[in-house]
Amino acid sequence: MRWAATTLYKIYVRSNCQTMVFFVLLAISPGLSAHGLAPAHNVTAQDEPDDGGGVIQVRWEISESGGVARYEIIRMKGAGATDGIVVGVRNGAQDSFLDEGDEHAIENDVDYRYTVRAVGADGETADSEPSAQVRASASWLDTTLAANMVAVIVFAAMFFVLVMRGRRGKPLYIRPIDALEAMDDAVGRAAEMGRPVFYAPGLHSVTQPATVASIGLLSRVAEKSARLHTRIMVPNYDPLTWPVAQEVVRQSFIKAGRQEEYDPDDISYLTSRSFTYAAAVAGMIVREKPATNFLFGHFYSEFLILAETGAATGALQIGGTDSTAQLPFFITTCDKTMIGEELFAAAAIVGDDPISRSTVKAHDWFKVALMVLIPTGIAVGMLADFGMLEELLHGLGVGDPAAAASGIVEALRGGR
Amino acid sequence: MSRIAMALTRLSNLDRRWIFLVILLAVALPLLTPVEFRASPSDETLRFDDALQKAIDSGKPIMVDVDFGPQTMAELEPVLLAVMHRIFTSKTKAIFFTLSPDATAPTRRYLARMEKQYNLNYGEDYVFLGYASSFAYTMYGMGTSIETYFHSDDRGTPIRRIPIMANVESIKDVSAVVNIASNAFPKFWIQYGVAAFGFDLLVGCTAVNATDLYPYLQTGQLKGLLAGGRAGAEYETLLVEKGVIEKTGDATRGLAPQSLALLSLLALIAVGNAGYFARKRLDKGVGAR
Amino acid sequence: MKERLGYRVPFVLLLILGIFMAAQYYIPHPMVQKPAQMMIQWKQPLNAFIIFLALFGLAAMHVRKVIRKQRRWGYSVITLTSMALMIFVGMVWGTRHGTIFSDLFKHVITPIEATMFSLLAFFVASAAFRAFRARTVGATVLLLSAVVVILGLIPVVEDLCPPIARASDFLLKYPNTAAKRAIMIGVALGAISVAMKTILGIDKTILGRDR
Repeated sequence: MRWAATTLYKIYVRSNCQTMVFFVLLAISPGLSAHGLAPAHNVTAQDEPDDGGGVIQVRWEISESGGVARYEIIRMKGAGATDGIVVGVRNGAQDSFLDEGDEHAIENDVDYRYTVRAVGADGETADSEPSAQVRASASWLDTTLAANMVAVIVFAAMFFVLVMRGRRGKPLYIRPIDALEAMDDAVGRAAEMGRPVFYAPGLHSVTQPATVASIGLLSRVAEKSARLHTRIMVPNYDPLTWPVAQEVVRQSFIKAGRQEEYDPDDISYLTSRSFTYAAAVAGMIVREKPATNFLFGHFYSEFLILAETGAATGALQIGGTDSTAQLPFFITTCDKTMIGEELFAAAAIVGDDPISRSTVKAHDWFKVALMVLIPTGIAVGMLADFGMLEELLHGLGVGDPAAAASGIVEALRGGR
Repeated sequence: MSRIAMALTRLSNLDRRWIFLVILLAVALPLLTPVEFRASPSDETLRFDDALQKAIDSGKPIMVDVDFGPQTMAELEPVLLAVMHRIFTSKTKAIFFTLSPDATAPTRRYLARMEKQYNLNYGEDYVFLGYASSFAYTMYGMGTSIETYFHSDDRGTPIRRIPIMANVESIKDVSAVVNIASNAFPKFWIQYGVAAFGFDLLVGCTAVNATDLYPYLQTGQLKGLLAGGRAGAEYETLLVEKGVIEKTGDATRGLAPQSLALLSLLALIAVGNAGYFARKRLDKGVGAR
Repeated sequence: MKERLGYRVPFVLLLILGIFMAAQYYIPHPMVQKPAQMMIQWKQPLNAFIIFLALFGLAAMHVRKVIRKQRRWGYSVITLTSMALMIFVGMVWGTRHGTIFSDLFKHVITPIEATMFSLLAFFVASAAFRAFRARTVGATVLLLSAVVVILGLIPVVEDLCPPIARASDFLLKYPNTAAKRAIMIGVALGAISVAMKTILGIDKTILGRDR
């Protein structure tokens, strides 16, 4: 200090005042700059929850001095490291950054620290204090999906209980499904008229539930047709569904003891383009004039072409679909329709297998639960909207009614 | 009186071919005349535009999945073109791809048109990744890695070497996914994409599929919906008001034939019912005697 | 024994993988996500096999029809010729933009399919003409709501009589959506139940077995 003062004095003596001012300014200029641009404060870094790791959320309080053009977010690996890499840039008004390790991946279970560097318009910088250590970690459960998971577990539990009951052979009443009851007579109609039965299993692959249900119903129709010496035609759209349909029809013919009447070419693959399929099937309907058309499974807009052609040739039509967009067309063109869930229920009860039958009850139980839960949720939500939920919780003696109320509302809206 | 009733009865069993002729004329005649209707933007259309604006404002690229083929071009082409104009006038980067093979050729064509109009640089301002099969798996898989499903773009360039893809590893790195589809893909995007990864989804769909998507719009799983030619026309009007495009396009032109076809449908339904009641009355008359 | 093994192996695979794929939805950990992603990726090459399966099946069926000179075997000749032509031009000159394959697609398949699609307009009209009759109280309600919704879709009506447009919007957004939701919930439960039955081997249709 003394040395500095002496030197300044000497300079002062030896030079004129202007030089002195220049040197003084020069001497304090770094300090001025540092005082001009304040760093960001309170840098915190937190692992993002509910993910596979590799993501850290960095937050800070923006510089008090203002004049920040941008913030550079610097990640340092290891506890004692002071050097780091810039992993992201934010503008002067932003106070958070989600480090997803875009260019430099974040390793799980490794210590990192973050510094936020404020950069001024002319390139001056000010580094913040580093954040506390943070580790990214992978979660074993995505809690945002908790509501969904609870629902699935409850449904699975009901399912198992009912399957067990089914195993013990307890009879369960299931409302008769009109379209299912009509199926046998419809095949009989074809036998009487000496015309074929036609079965379209939908446009989805056999990996989709509606097709699985449709294939279940196909076995029943095929067996009945075999018994009545009636030709059954199954044009397929999906190449994976096709061999399954062939196998199911073959088995049904064997079961009916009419193996020799089974013709694999009647269970054909046509095309996987929906309107080409519609053209091919409409052509088949016009040429073969089936007495009965069964249309079960998932269909798209080509459905109306199939069904209207069927109606024009005077066929009896029974359909069922899980496609809500096509349901109106099913109802207008088919004589009997299985609406949505009825298709799955029909497939479950068609085989008279008590275990399979009992699974239908699981739907009903779960729907009852939903029927209670949905109005309750609406009621609670409305109470919250009118500010009455807090009062109610207060009246019930809940410790922090405001927090509890917002927690409940959050849970109601919660998850995805 | 009974002669009219008889005629009506006969009309109620009208041969399908007459109905086809009525619809043909209803659709064809307005196309030959210069009549044009206008559709003012509904709340839904405004909501779609707000959601798109939000995506544009975020500065990240937007992903556009084009899933319609020649069959539904009349209904969805104007919707896609309007969305493209909206994106490219705001100088937002866009990543196009398709999960339906028939959409590949039309998408190439539309993008070539946009490139010329807006002076775009392929690979920097936009890219077309082409087609990927197994839609459900791709939708779900793109939540973690796009490269796994699109190794290279439509021109065969590995996507690692495409500048626009540099910071886009998965769907989480884009501001929104816009799906213009004639099939059930929007629903699958909600089930396999939004439910698992929670991004913003905007949809342009055919009118038939719209009723399937309203529930998701109300829950917020779908941020915006343009349903069918009507919504396309509304969006065109909105974009003209905003100065994005100069004049309305094919969707607006389609309003007149659509309206006339709907009116003839109403007339046919009325005739069918009149015939039905006339027959009922005749039958009753016969019964009374 | 062989028969039983042939059935058991796919069943056990289905059980293990079914439970695994359901569980991975809730578990973001890389230990679970990595194998799950890998399995999803396997589906891509499997698709190629499925296409081959379809191709050979289709060809075999039509060849049989031609050889046996079955009824309308001429159609089979057309199918086989078109198939061979598309495969040939696709393999020799490629399938990219501007090739013969893409031209055939654009100028033959595209217009044919567009024509099929446009038939819908006519079929919707004929179906509506037959279906919308005020036969019962329920059918009358359906008819009236259909009329309101159709009117609401016409821009001129919206300008001349806003209440109709509002009523149409209301019908679509509320009663319609409520009914759809109910059906969707039912369908979802049915689908979960089919999935569980398949995974647990209660329903064996997917393996080509009669239940």
